[in-house]
Amino acid sequence: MNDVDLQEALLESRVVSIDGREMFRVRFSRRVNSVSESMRRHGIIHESVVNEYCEALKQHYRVLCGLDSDYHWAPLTLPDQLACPVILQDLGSGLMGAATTDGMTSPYLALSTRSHEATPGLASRRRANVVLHELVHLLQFQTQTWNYWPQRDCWGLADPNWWLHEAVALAIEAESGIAPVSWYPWLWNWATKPQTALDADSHGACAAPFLQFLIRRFGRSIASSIYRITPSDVASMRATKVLAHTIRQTVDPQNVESVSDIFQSVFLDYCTDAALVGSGAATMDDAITQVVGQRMRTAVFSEFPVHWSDPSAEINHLACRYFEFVPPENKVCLKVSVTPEASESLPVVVGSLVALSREDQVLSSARLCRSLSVGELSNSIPLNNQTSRVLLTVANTAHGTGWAQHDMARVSITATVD
Amino acid sequence: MLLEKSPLFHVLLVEDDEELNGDLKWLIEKKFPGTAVSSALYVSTAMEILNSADVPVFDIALLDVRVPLFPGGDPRTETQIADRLKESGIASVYMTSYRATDDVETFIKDRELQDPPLKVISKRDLNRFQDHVFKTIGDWFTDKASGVVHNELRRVFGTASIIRDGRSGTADLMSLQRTIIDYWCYLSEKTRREVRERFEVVEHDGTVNALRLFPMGSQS
Repeated sequence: MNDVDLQEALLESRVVSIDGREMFRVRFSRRVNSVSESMRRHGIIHESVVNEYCEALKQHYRVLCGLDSDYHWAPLTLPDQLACPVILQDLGSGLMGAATTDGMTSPYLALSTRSHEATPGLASRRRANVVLHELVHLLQFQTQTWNYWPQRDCWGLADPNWWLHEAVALAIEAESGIAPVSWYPWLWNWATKPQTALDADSHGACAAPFLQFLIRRFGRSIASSIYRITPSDVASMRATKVLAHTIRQTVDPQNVESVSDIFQSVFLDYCTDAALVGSGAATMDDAITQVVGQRMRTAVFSEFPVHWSDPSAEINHLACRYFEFVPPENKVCLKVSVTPEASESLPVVVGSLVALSREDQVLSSARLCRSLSVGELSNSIPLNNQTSRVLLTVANTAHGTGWAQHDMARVSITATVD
Repeated sequence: MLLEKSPLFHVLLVEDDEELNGDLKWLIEKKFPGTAVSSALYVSTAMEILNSADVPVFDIALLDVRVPLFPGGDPRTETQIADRLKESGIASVYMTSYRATDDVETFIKDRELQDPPLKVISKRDLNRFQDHVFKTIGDWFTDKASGVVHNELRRVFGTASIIRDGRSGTADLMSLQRTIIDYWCYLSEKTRREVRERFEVVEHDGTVNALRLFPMGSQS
């Protein structure tokens, strides 16, 4: 008997039924000493691993696709009524799990029998997270939108839209509340370099907070809505555009406002919100700041008038920079002007002001108004004796001209107090 | 934004015989699927290709030893391209019908001691010449493809970096599968065995039809 036949003979399977339907067939083998080392390592030692995976599949599938699910993902399509295969094996030191396809038949899941965590409790939570994350990919695979994109024959890391698939899965992981802090450390770049583009990494860590913001602002179903959007030219659309269309459809189903106006507005809201995470005033999870700290401020000004510019301080597409003003006492108004260094950047640069108290409460807020004739964005915000500082958010809402090509913006800032 | 699939291999061909140049380009691209040949008839055109901003990373260069500098010039042994290829670390294979002439002999001798040693293919017997070119290029592609797949297998399954960076395995696994499918017909037997330790490979006529993590088992 060769290795393939022997392994087939040793395979056991367990069916995970949901609402009376056989949904997943989990395949695994037990560790048997009489087989070769390479085969032995795939076998499970403790049945609890199988039990945990089966339970997580059942629980998370219901959360994502159940009748009372807020996510509204379309249920898995099972060809020929066969349950979706899930194989448990030692995936080495590199993989915890993956959703994949052999290119011919339906997608399937592969989950690792190896534990990468220090304690059984952590390992168990990690397994639950992996199942949820890979289930989201499995559901993405069967959508029309996802299936348009790989027509370009760009798979996985070579797919310039991959960051969106990952960001959606990460945001749903975070919202599950199982162990989001286990991936919050990956937001280190997001926190220390807010000027980094949303689509800068294929792992989705730069974009996941934006997806979390969208889910919390507009409801969980926005995640699956992305994969239901099929504008006629979706095949040629980049993920940012698909995202922009999804937001418009959610916010403005009557299509009164333009896609770009709505996207600019929502993206600026997100950038502003992201700067306030940890203050209790943000939509996003305050726990993020406990792990990676507050998003970096480019400059803090306490002397007025302010005239600031820095040729090296670029803002990538779909990214932002933060500035803080600490106004002197007894002043009643702060006036801020932001001038893009290149005139073509003016339509895509947006900004907001938020006055904060010492307790980080939002006292007032205002958007910067664009003046095409003067070529700047400006506004003023009232100050009072409670105002401890004013946050200026400057965001570049350009979508980028292509993968790894950037629409950079640079701005200069002036500010006065009265 | 329809992206064309990138070629797996890039070949630079420098041959001043227009007919042979065209035939070689056609034959190489047909014989080795996924290969793009950039061809030049003169030294000047070859240098233009090598100096252009969007120059591909050439895997191998196939060059006539004697090539005219410009259109209408006399063929001569030119060191410009050879020096540039050596500087860029691109493997070079030279073709010649004039091994007996002094300048060709000197050109070859000057480069026989370099690392890796110069490969020279004689153009005198055209049937053997073609086989020789195919074997040389084929061996080179096998080495490269096997190296790429071996390293990808190690990266995806063998290092903890994916977990440490918090990446889902899906993108990595799909990229690996794509790489295996693309390079399959060029892989050495040793690398194919390595792939089969992880995957069940269903192939037909040297092309992968399906690739499944091993063992999936029957579905029923």
